[in-house]
Amino acid sequence: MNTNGTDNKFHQLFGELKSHDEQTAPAFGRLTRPASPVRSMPWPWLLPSAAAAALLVVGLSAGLFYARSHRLAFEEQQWAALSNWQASTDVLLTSAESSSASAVPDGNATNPQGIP
Amino acid sequence: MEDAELRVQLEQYHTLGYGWALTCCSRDRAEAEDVLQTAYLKIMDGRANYDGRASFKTWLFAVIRNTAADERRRHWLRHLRLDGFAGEREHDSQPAERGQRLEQSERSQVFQQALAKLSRRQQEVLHLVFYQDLTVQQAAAVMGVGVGSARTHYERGKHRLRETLRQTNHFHEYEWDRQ
Repeated sequence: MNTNGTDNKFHQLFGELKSHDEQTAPAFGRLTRPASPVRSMPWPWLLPSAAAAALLVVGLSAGLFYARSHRLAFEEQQWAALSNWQASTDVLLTSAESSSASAVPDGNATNPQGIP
Repeated sequence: MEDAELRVQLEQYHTLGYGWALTCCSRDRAEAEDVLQTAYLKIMDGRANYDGRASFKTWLFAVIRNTAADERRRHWLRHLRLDGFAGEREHDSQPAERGQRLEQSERSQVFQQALAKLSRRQQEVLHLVFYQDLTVQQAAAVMGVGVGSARTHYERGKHRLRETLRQTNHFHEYEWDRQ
């Protein structure tokens, strides 16, 4: 195999590529200027996404806190109402108690009518 | 090395460094400029230090190669995380690429297409040897691989490139040697 022949051809072809690249190379000063950011932000969506996520967390926390305190106040009211509640038949119970107590005969009592 | 001296050295190898960056970035010009600028910034703000163990050119090329590899990883992650972003970039660069292609000769295009068919390592070693006139040993140092490995990539790359070019009709004047 004629390696040198092939190598020379490759040198020639790469040389053509090289001269083309030399013509299109950017200026050295343009790439070393510190105030020329060529690259954009790696993740441009990162900052807005983080802000949106933070807002969502704050909103959810506030909502949960409000719902919880609201529920506690409602329960408090409900229990207060239940503790004062009286059924309409409660009156009957108390009146029945008093009337039956008077109707029950007392065994220890003396015979008032003198029955033998 | 002082800043002024560093700048002079970088400027001296700027055009060659750009050619190398193009190879590391699959001939994407915008990407190559980004990589080269990032490499220069790394060197100038001291994140990459020249210790004098290799020649300045070999060291600079290794910095450019590592920067390009970092960029590729970042692109890959970006592509995974934000589907379509990379696609947009590709679309953005398409008209420019089309323009460049029109400027280039058909022969040059065919040669670049043949090069693109090689593996990354094969492209790199052939570029370093035939474009940058480095030895295989120096190329191995730039690529961060052993000399034996670089030599294997070099031989296989040459063989494959020769076969690919032989199959095209654009290099009649070359009588490719059969191995």
